[in-house]
Formats: sequence, C-alpha cells, structure tokens
Amino acid sequence: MTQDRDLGLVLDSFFADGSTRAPDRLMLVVTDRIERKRQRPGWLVRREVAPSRPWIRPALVLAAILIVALLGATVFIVASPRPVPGPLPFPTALPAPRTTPPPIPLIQGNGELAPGRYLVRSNVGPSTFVVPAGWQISTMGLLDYSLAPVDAKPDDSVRVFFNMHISAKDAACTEAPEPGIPPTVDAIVDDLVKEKRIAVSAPIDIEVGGLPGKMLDVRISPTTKATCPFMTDGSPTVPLFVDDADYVTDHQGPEISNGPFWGVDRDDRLRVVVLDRPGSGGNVMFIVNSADGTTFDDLVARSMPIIESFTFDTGPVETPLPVPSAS
Amino acid sequence: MDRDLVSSAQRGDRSAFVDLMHPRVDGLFALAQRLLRDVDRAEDALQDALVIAWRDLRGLRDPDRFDAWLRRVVVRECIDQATRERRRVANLRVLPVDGPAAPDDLLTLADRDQLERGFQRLPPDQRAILVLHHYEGYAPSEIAEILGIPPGTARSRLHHAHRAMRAALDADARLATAGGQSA
Repeated sequence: MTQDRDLGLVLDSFFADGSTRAPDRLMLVVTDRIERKRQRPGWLVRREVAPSRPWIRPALVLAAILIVALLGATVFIVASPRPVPGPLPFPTALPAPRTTPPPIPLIQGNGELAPGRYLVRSNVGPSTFVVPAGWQISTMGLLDYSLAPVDAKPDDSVRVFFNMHISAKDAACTEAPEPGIPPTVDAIVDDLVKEKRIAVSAPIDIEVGGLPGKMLDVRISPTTKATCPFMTDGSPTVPLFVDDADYVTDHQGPEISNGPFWGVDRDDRLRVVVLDRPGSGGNVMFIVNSADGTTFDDLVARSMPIIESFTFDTGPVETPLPVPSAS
Repeated sequence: MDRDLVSSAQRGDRSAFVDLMHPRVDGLFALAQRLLRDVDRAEDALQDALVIAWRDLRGLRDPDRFDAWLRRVVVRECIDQATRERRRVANLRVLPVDGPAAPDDLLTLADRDQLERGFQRLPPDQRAILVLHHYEGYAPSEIAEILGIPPGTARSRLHHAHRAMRAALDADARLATAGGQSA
C-alpha cells in the first residue's frame, strides 16, 4: 500500500479522521471532580510522579475515610463544652450576664480574607491569626493550610504545618521521618544546622502565641548536587520536613503521601519558624516559601506579623463565615 | 487574558480553571481520541488528565507555557492509560469507533484497517509522537518540549515510529498477498 505513497501523507490523512468534539458531559464531570480536589503545593508538584498503580486507589479511599473520621472526632471533642471548674451553688439559677467577645470567623475553604482575626481548625486543634488586607487562604487541607498575598507568585506562600519531622535522608528521598530525630524544636533546628546540603542562618529564639521556638532561613547550598529520583532533570533538591501522619498513598504513586512533605529546590528560599507544643510532644511549623528566591525578603516582611499574631487557644465560640472565592 | 486565568486558577480559583478548559477541551479530546483510538477511553483519560492538571497546576512556573504543559499532562495520561490497556488486552484488536471512515481519496477502508492495526502495535509513547506530529502538526523539537524529552529523543522516536508503521503495513500487505495466493 505504502510503496507508492508518502507515509507522512498517509498518516496525516489517517489521523485527520475522528472525533473533534468532546461530549458535553465531560466538562460537567470535571467541574464536579475538581470541586472535591484540592491543589498540591508547588514544591510537591514539581516532582515527577510514578506511574499509576491500580491497588492504590482503594487504599487511598480507606485512608481518607480514616482521616475524616479522626478529624470529625477531633472537632467533636474540641467543640464539646468544657466542664466548669468548681460546683455551682444553685444549679437551677440563671447564669449571670457577662460580656462575650465577638466570635472569630471560622475559615472553611480557600479565598481572599477581609482584614481581621480568623480561626482555623486542623487535625491537631484550632489556631487563630490576624491578616491585613490583601491576603488569602491559598490551600486548606486536613493536615496543613497556607496563606498567601493575593498578588503573590503562585508558589509563594506561608505554610502552617503541625507535628513535622526531619525527612529521611536516604538517596531515594523516602517520604518518611528520619529515624532517631524527635519532632522538637531543638532536635529539628540542630539537624538543619548540621545538614551539609543546605545553607542556614543562625537560629533566633522566638515565641508565638505563648509557644517557644526558633526561626532560621534556609536555602540549598550552592555546592549541593544532591537530587532525588523524582527530579527527572537531576536538578538539586533536598527534602527537609515530613509530617507524622500515616503514610497513605496517592493514586499517582506510592511514594507520595497525602500529608505535607517539604524541601528546598535550586531556587527556593525558606524561612522556617518551628514552635514546641508542650504537653503534646509535637510542634507547629511555619514555612515562608519564596519559590524563586527573588521575593523572599518582601514575603518575609509581610508574613512575620501574621505569624507573630498566631494563637493556639480554643478562643471564643466561633461562627462559620462564608469565605468568598478569590477572583 | 489566559495568563490571568492561569494565575487565578493557580491560586485556587476553580471557575478560572473551568474557563481555561472550555475553549481547549474539544482539541484535547480529539488528541486523546486519536491516541487511544476509543471515544470512551479518551473521555476517561481526558477527565483524569484535567483533574490532574487542576491538582498540579501550582507546579507550572510560567503561565505562558500553560498550553504546552496541559498537553503534556493529557498526553502522559493517555500514554499511561494505553500502557495499562496494552498490558490487560495485549492481543485484543481495537476497532475504529467513530463509525465508518469518511470517504477519502487517499485511503481506502482496507488501508485504514491496516493503519489501525499497525498503530495499535506501537508502544504508547511512539503513538503519542505520531499523533502530535501528524495530527497536531508539531515539529520534533516541539514534541520534545511537550513530552519533556530531549529533542534528539523525540526525533529518534518519530523515526522509529515511522519505520514501525511502514514495517507493520508492509507485513500486513505480505500476509494479505499470501492469504490471497493460498485461497
């Protein structure tokens, strides 16, 4: 057939035939599905993902159910009325009138925020913070959330994590904690300072919301050649932190958990603020992330007042506030 | 305009993402259908690809490269699906699904059947390169960018895909001739 014809023309003609219009339902289904799908942080996305594995999806569903159940239980416990200390002399008496501070709006999704104090409930308890004008919640997950200026570059943000560990240091860049390093401020900062693949500033003591901690700036060392298997271009990257959630997997590959996993790439600059949570054995970690480094100073200057406004108390009873979507 | 939509979508604006997709979805569907040779599988693959695009959009550093990036996501998902399908039904012959081929003064129905079988025998990544080159009209260097492979690799794979198609078609022609002689 092809002996007398140019194969290229034949193939052009072959491929010209076929459907050119997508079914109408396709975008309806996609719209519905993305309503239930949150976006991944840029750092995580920039890794190459492994091929799909069919057994992962049921595991993901099971893990998601467990996480939702755990979150529901946590919210229920936190929202339950606390016992009033001491006996009431007259149980049937009407409570005395008292002044109640205005409720703090509860953030339930992404969107731009009006200036003010907000409440976020995460899997480890509530936190509040104050934002000026021009900020938004850019991601809201079960295990972490993030804030960003509305005019920020896409990967620039302030991440709020809980109970982060130093990430494994093996060549495979396994998404699991490095054994033997507890999730305390001292242990984490000590490890960062000793880590040869990164350059860090001198740690500075800080206290946020009554929690003691340290902060330091991190970037990849100029001489670092270390990379990870998921960096297909072989560019330098150093995983730094991973959460302590069970390592549920994503349908894109077993090495990616649904929990936070954070590090530095060639251009990233980070400010890390880590606070001990006495009694819980865990921590709160803020990461101010400038993806290309050029916005770092400005982002830090704008972010630190927000970080310093955080409290980790239950505060007054909150009322839900619909958060307008960013537009 | 699209740059603004991409930036908004990267900040979590779902309606911006949907607005970005609407003018592109027909073209992407046509691409997926040609690569997978099946309307239903193309629809499934494109749905999954667009959800992945939403999920991973923050990984796109330069909004001006959105279209190339999106094509890459779609082609990769199609290749993944074709690879899975190839493992599952390695010997199943997939027929054209869009009804009878349109009249064409260049190709007969027998030609199309031969091409279909030859195409199905190709590895999914070579199929993708053929579709991107012959349907979308991309040069090997552009294909390299879409697939995230070196330009030399794209050129080499296109060459091998052409050679494989020609070999497959010639083999079919020989079989047909032999069958005709023995009948």
